Amino acid sequence: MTDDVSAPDRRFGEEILLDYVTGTLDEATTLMVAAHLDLCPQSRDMVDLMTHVGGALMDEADPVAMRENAFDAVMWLIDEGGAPQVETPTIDEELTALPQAIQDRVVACGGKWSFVAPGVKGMDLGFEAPQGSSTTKPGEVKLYRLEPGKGVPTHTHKGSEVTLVLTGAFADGRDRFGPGDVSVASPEITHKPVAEAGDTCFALAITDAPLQLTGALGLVQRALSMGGSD
Amino acid sequence: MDVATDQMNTRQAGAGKTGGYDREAMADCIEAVAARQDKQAFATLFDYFAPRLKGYLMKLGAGEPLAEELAQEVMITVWRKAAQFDRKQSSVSTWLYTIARNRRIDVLRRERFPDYDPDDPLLLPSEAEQPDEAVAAGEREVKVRAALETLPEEQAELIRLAFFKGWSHSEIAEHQELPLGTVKSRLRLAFRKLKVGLEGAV
Repeated sequence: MTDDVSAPDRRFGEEILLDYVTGTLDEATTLMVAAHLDLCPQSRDMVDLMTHVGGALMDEADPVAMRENAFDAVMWLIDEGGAPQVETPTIDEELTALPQAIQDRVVACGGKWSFVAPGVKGMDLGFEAPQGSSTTKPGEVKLYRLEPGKGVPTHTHKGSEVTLVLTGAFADGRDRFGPGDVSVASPEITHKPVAEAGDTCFALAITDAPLQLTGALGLVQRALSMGGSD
Repeated sequence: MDVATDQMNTRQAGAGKTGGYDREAMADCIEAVAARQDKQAFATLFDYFAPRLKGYLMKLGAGEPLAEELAQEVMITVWRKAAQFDRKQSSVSTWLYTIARNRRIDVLRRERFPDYDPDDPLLLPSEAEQPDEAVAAGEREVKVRAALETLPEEQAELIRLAFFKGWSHSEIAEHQELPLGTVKSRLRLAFRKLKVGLEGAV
C-alpha cells in the first residue's frame, strides 16, 4: 500500500457513498464527501459504479409524457439565457491546490480567515448546522490551515468531530492522517492535532457531526461485517 | 440532416438494447450540441430522456408540475453544459442522472434556504480522472446493467429503494422492517457483486 492511498478505516464506507450518490446527505457532509472523492481513487471508483446504477435505474422508470409545449418552452429559455457564462472567481493562489468542491465553497461563501492558534487559521464555511440530533447544538464547518509543526490546542468537543485532510498531514497523538484520510474524534476524546513538518496542512472539519457521518467510516462497517477487503 | 441524429435513426434498431436506446448515438447528440448547438440533436435527446426524467422524478415523489419543471431544467442544463460531457468518463444516462439529482437537491435547498445559489458548482459531476480508463463509460454502463439483472431480488429491491425513494440505510430498515445490519450487508453484497460484474469481464 502506497502512502497516497487511504486505508479502509480512513475512507468513507459504501453506506455514505450511496447516500451521496442518491442525494440524501446534508450539504456539509456532501461537501466533505465530494472533497474526499477528489483525493481517494477507491471511493471514486465505488461512486462511479453507484452512479451508473442510478443512470440505469433512471432509464428503467416508466416515461411520463412531457407537456405539449415543453420542448418549445425549453428552447425559449435556452435562447433567453444567451451564451453560457464563464465565471472566473478569484481565490488565493494557495487554495488552488485544494479539491475543486472546497474552492467553490470558499468562493461562494466569501469566507475569511481568523486566528485559531499560532500558525493555525480557520475559515468558517458558512453552513447551516448539519442535520444531526436536535439535541446537539449547531455544528461548525471549517477549513483549517496549519503551518508545518503547528497545531490546534488540546481540545474536546461536545459532539463528534470529523476531519478530512486535504493537503499535508497531521498527527493527533493517536494516529497520523494524510491527504484523503478521514478522522473521527468522538466526544470523549481529547486530542491535539499537529501538522507534520513539510507541507502546509489544510483540513476540513465538521464539529457536532451528524451520526450519519460519524458512523460512515470503513472501520465501523468492517467491524460489523466479516467483509473481505477489496 | 444532422449526422448525429441521422446515425441515431439508422442505428436505432442496433446496439445497446439493454437501455432501449443507442447510447453511442445519444452521446453523439450531446457532442453535437456542444460542438455546434445542434437543435435537432437536442430534440432527439429531449424526446427520449425528458419523459424518462419526469417519470423518474415522479417515482421519487415529486408531483407532476415539479417533475415537469425539473425535467425541463435538467434538459436546459444538458444544453448549457454539453461541453462538459465526456463520453470516456460518463455514459449519457449516468450524466443525466447526476444532473437530475443535483437539480432536485437544489430545489429542496431553495425551499429551505431562499438565498441558495442554484448555480453553486459544488455538485457538478466530478471531472476528476477515472483511475481506470480500460473500460469505456458506455461499456461500463452495459456491464452494470447486466450485473444488476443478476442480483438476487432481496438485494435488487433495496437498491431500488435507495434510488427511487431516496432512502438512507436506516430508513430502508425502518420501512422494510429489517434489521439495519441486514440492510447494510445486503447492499454491501450487492455493490460488491456489481463491482465484480464490472471488473471481472475486463
